[in-house]
Amino acid sequence: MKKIFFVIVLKIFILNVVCYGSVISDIKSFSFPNKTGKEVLILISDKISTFDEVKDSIYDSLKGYNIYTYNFQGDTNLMKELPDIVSKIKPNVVVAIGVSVLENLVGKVDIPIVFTMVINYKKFNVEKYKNIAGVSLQVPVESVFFNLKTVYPNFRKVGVICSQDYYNSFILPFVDSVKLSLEVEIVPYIISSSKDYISSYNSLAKNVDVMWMVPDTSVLDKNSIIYFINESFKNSKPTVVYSEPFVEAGGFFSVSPNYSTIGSQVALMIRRIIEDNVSPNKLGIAPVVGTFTTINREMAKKLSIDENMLGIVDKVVK
Amino acid sequence: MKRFLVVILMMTVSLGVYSQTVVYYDPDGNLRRIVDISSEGNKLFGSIGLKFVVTADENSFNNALKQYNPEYFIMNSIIYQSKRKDLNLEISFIFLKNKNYTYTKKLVTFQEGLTAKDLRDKVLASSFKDVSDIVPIEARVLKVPKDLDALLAMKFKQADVAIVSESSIEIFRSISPFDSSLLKIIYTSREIFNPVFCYSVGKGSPSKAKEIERLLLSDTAKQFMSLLMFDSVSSDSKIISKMK
Repeated sequence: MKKIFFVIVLKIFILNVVCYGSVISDIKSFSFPNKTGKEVLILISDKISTFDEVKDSIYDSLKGYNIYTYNFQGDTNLMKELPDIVSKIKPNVVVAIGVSVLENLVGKVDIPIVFTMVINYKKFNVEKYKNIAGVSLQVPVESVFFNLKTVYPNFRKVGVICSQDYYNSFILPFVDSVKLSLEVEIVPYIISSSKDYISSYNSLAKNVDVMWMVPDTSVLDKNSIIYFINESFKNSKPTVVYSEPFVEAGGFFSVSPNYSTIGSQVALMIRRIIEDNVSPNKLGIAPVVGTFTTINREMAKKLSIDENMLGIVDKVVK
Repeated sequence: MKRFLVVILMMTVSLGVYSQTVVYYDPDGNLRRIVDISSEGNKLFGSIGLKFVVTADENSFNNALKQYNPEYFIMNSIIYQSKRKDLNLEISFIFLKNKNYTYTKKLVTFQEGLTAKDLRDKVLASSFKDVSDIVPIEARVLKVPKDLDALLAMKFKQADVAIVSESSIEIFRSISPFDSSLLKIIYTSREIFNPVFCYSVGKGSPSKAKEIERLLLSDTAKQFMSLLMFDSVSSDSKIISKMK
């Protein structure tokens, strides 16, 4: 009996300490044992596998650090107490994974924060705080078309339908570099309502080599998405979509972030803050640099892409 | 009884129920042809009752370890060095190209005046987690899934240097002639051993490994070998002993 109990305890220990790093069971009463100046507190807003992938990669990249993790599992009430909790624990850096943790910390603590896995971080005006750095979930425009060129090299004009605001914020800053580096011209069709999406698609698609669907929710709705994917598939128009499920639905190609690389980027920021004394705002918000590509085999066949070329893509669907 | 066993064995192979697995993992391999490598490899190894699993990155390699508990591996020699103890690996033979058993990687940068000597505290983008075996420099490693991501990491100012294969530089050149014209090679790595075939001691058998070596040297394996971008294999103990 004693032996069985010992084995169970050992297994639990291995699972918690070896596999998952140091996990905090009660965040309110936690304090770092044996402080060395390299204390990192990872706070995760919910139980999501990609969040864990980022966390595991941080552990993997930061040797010699005291890293502790707490997953709030969506407990919004407890997250509201975060400013007090973090001020009491006093880590050297807090890593905020997920929007709910970030929104409860922004502007409420002075401790350096590195955030990630937050889609619309701009709404928190993170750039105005000196103690905040982060890794965005946005794959750079250039990276999207660079990856597309590895499998579908001969395109020159990319059409995109979006609002003026979206274009100015997310596309315009990259238009020149995409043209210079990849000899690709981005042709925007600016609209202000989703009602105009279908007619603008019909006007634009015939004048470009590739259609690009961007997550501009001010003009993109469910009907526009369905039309965009179905019409492109029917007419063998190559498309770049912003999410893997759209490739499964008939879109041609997508480029998503590699979550393990995000963890590696976060770890490097932590080292810059702690070891080099760099202020977080000097590091800014970095684009994600690791990519995961997905292609639709049926569409690739329609576009006469050699099956052998698909080997360079991370995932082939259908 | 003997006939019965033969029938069972034949049924097992024909039903695709393989008892043993060969896992392939080489981040510097011919990633463009990974689908073909998988299909040709399965044909080839299937003919001797082995399943062939291709993994494209560290994640899928680790998943394959859990899922298949493999007996045999074709793996990059740097990965072999890092996994040999954990997986209790023994090398059987090494892959050759034009009788060569090594290759090099290039340390590249876009920055003017940066040399391999002043990389302390700089960020090095790499598809390998541990680069100390490849380049004798002190730098912080940004782990990326592919060499092309490593090159782009420099472009987006997230890394100062990148360590990449020559074939990746060629792909980069074909996609972006402008950017590649700004790329500077500042160091060529030490000679890296080509991928090796190894087995897990206690699980795989040396005699089966020998059978696989003969298979890879036969005409049947020509297409597979060409996909891997090699033309021969060698179990020359003088070469193998250098890796131990």
